[in-house]
Amino acid sequence: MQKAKRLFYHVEQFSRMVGSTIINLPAFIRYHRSTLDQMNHLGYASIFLVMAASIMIGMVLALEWGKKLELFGAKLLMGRIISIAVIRETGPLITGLMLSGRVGASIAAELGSMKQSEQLDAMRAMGADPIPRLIVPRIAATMITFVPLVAIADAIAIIGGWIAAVVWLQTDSTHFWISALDGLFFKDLTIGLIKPFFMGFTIASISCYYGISTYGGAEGVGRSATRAVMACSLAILFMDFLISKFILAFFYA
Amino acid sequence: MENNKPDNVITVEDLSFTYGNEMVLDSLNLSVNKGETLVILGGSGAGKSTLLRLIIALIRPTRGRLTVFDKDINLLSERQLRPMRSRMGFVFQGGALFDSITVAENVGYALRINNPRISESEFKKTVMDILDYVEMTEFYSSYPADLSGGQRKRIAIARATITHPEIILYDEPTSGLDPIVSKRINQLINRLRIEQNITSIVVTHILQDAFEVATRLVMLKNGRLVFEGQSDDLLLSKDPYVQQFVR
Ligand SMILES: Nc1ncnc2c1ncn2[C@@H]1O[C@H](COP(=O)(O)OP(=O)(O)OP(=O)(O)O)[C@@H](O)[C@H]1O
Ligand SMILES: [Mg+2]
Repeated sequence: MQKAKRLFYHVEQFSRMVGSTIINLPAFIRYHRSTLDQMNHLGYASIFLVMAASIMIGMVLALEWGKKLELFGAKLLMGRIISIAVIRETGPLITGLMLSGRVGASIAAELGSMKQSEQLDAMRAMGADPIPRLIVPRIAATMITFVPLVAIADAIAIIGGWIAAVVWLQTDSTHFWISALDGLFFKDLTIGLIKPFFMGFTIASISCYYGISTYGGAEGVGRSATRAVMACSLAILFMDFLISKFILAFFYA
Repeated sequence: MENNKPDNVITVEDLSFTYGNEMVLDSLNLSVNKGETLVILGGSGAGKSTLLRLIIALIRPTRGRLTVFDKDINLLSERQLRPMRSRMGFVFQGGALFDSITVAENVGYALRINNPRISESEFKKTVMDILDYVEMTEFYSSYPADLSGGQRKRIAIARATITHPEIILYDEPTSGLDPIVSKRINQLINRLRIEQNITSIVVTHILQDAFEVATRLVMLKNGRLVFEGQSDDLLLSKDPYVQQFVR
């Protein structure tokens, strides 16, 4: 009972924060310095991680699929399968999970320690609203940065697949690229770029909420950070499924 | 609101506040007049910080009424509170400085909120003046992380007083400061009252500082008022808790 009540309370508070953030979203222009800072921070923090993960995933996809396709005599489809899988699914998903860990923890810990040291209260006490000043820049920065990060992740993963295909599976390089690009449709790119947009919002808003609802000193900051990572990761998996399902159901038989 | 005297800037009526099951403030009644410096004394955990946080509506009362500038602040939303808060200053017990911006930006934060188009030269001059008063000018471009506890406190005081708000709430402004700086802070509080008729509430443990700034004192114990009066009354009080406190 107590637990259900608390859950309900947090859902309500979270919705309020998200609502207020959406209303205040244009404030990222006004606080563009803060937004740019966050983008910078976020980009540097995650780009190498994302690139490393992507090249591995691309190579693994090629190796695993290569043998199976060869059995069916369909090795020419390799590029297409990799580019579709990467752009529609693994690129956004892997980037989302990486950012859940990297960005989720850092946003939750940073806002959490601001909460603990009463900086959020100090802001309110001076008549300033923390939502446009602190939360909007973080959410906007994550949404904006996420899209090019995913594009980079996609490109690197496909290059990884190409390397594996050419080096270990004796696939013809030209064929690989023709098949990779030929199989791409507008809707694949749309899915691939809609996902990061929503995922960015999800990760940033969840971790901001964990940050601002931190309680219980330094220990509380650690707890918020780990819980934020867990919640973000689950939310990313769920969003990934939801968007794919939604788009497949409405725009694609 | 209706029976407020015109010079009452804060009225606390039957105010209670609980954390979970813990009664932190218990049916408190108190009013603060314009231009006075009310000192709140009381032991650790008595509810002093909680009372200040209620007055600026960072937390909401469990029961009772709180009137600030003739407005019942329980009825105001966070947005409606903003103009009223810019007429108030708050010195947090732990400083609550913004870690990510410089000392100067911290001190001038309220300047930029009240006037987003303030010129850089005016900003710098106003910030420098107040930093000079708290003897912290050399830290203009430092970050809060580089300051000692007492230095942080001085910056927090500078930040809360820079716009000369009509009401200033100080949560233990002189704890952790050496006697010389403490004296200056007390002088600042007195100067703001005498020259600008600013209303202050000062929470403190330190009797000497209390006597230096107070025009009236109250003492809190377990969320209730156990004393209200002038410095002399405090020293002469028959209440055993008060006697223990001032001895
Ligand atoms: N966030 C909180 N959650 C739960 N209880 C709290 C919280 N903040 C304060 N309390 C409790 O409220 C009571 C009053 O706290 P408050 O901070 O107002 O005391 P204080 O008079 O300012 O003490 P001090 O002189 O030590 O600063 C304490 O018993 C404290 O345990
Ligand atoms: Mg206190």
